Amino acid sequence: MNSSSLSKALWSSVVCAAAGLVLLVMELVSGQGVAQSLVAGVVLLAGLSGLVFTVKTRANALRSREVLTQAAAGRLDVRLVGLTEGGVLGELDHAINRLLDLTEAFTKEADAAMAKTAEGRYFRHILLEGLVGEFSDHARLINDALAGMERRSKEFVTEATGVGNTIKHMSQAVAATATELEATAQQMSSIASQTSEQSATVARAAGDASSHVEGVAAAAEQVAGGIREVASRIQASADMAQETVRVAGETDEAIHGLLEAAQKIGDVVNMITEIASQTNLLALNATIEAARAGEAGKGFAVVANEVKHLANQTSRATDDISAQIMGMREATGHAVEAVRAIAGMIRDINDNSTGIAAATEQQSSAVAEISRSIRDVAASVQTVANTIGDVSQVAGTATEAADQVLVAAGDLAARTVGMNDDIDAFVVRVCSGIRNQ
Amino acid sequence: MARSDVHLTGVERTFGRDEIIVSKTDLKGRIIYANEVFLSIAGYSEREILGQPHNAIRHPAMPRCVFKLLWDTIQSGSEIFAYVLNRAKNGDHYWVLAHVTPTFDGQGNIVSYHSNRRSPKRESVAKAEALYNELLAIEAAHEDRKQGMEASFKALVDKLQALGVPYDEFVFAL
Repeated sequence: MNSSSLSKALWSSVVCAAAGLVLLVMELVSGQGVAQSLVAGVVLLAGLSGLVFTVKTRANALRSREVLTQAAAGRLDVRLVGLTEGGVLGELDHAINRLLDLTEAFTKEADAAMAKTAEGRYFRHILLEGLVGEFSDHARLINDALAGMERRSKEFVTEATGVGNTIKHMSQAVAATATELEATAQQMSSIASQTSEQSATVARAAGDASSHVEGVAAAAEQVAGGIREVASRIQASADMAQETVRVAGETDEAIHGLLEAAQKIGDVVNMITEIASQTNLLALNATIEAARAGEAGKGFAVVANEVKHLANQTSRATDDISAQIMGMREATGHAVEAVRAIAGMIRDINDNSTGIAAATEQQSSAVAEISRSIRDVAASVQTVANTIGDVSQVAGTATEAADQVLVAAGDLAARTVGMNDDIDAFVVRVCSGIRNQ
Repeated sequence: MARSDVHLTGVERTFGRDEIIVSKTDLKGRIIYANEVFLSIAGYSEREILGQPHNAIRHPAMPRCVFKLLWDTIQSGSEIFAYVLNRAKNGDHYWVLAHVTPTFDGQGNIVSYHSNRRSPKRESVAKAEALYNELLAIEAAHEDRKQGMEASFKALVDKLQALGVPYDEFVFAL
């Protein structure tokens, strides 16, 4: 069996004490001398005290073994307490405690530094004070590594924040644009719906105008028809006037004929007056002759008187006729003048009628032109109405489109705001745990 | 413990930058382990200090609100750093940068507390001292100890809030 030096020392002490005891007993029994008995007693005492100290040393060694065994099992908080030994044993105990103190200090420092680093707090490095030798070297190594991690995570945070800010700036710009877009779309929507409303109004107005113009065109047609009617009537009047002029000319000639006839009658009457005058003269002569013839001539005188009387009557009758013819000639002259005046007036009327006819002809064509123009206008207005209807429809579509743009822009703005939050959260998330301070 | 009774020498002790003061306490704050550096600088033997409450080495110039923060933090399972002025047995004092952590069992329960204390930089000590003097003045201005501590604790929280940094980073930056 492979026993320790301590066991051997223990057994040596036991043997020594036993030998001393045997020796002492033998000396006391034989009673051969005090000196030998004294030596035997010393041997016994030496053996006993060797035994006691060896047992104490063993106990101490067992305690140390216990502590080191636990430490070897990973329990670093165990220590040797109640130290009584001095010398090598005491130093051994203190050395064990020192080793454990150092080891525990190192592990606690390393733990704390790592834990803080894991939280993203880099201020906590391993304190080098109190650490010696390789503990200190390892601690420095760890501290350097932590500093490197801090540097790199700071760089990462800077980089991530920079990227985040860039994205945020961009998304803010997008958000601003979206907001502007929203406002523009809103404007566009209201403009489009105004356009729609207004064009609908215009379309209605154009429709009204179209039908009004139609009415006007129809009225103009009627006016044109009326004017044509008037023109034809005026033409008829002109024809009638011409006829009247012609009839007046005929009347004039007839009246001239009448005047000539009256002239001829005057000539005849003058002749008759001549004859009556000669007849009267003859009667006078006959009377005178009858008077000279006396009684014989009496009957003749009566006849001559009768003849004279008839001649006088004839003379008076012709005078009346002359007077009547004079009156007639005068009346005929008046009539001729009157007929000529009428003819002149009718000529004027005829001229006027011709002018009127020409004017109405012009008017008629002008009105026809107006009517055509109005029809054109009506057609144009209808076109406008149709076009405006199209515009209204397009504006309606534009309103819908603008509304969609509005919704989309609002959505975009909201999403961008959401994205900003997401980016913030993202940056916070990626930087948390490595963000320093 | 009446602070005015505590004996102080005004002598400062220091320890090496390659040394660590280590101590462990149970859940009630009683010392269950103290290393050689602890014993040497605090002037206690192991026998004297084991089982003693950790505030055996508390210095009266420490604001109580710092310990409240310390205990609140480690009881919640987190580590804490604090500049602490400690008192040696003979009345000397020494500044440490204490790092206190809970120790957990396999089920995640806190079974003890562990404190590593390192030699602090002088300029950090100066800044901590200035802050502690402010907090102490607040605590001293209150008759009631509890009220005083709450007021100074609030002042500390407000100060951190105004600076906008968590306590751990604030201490690390001192």
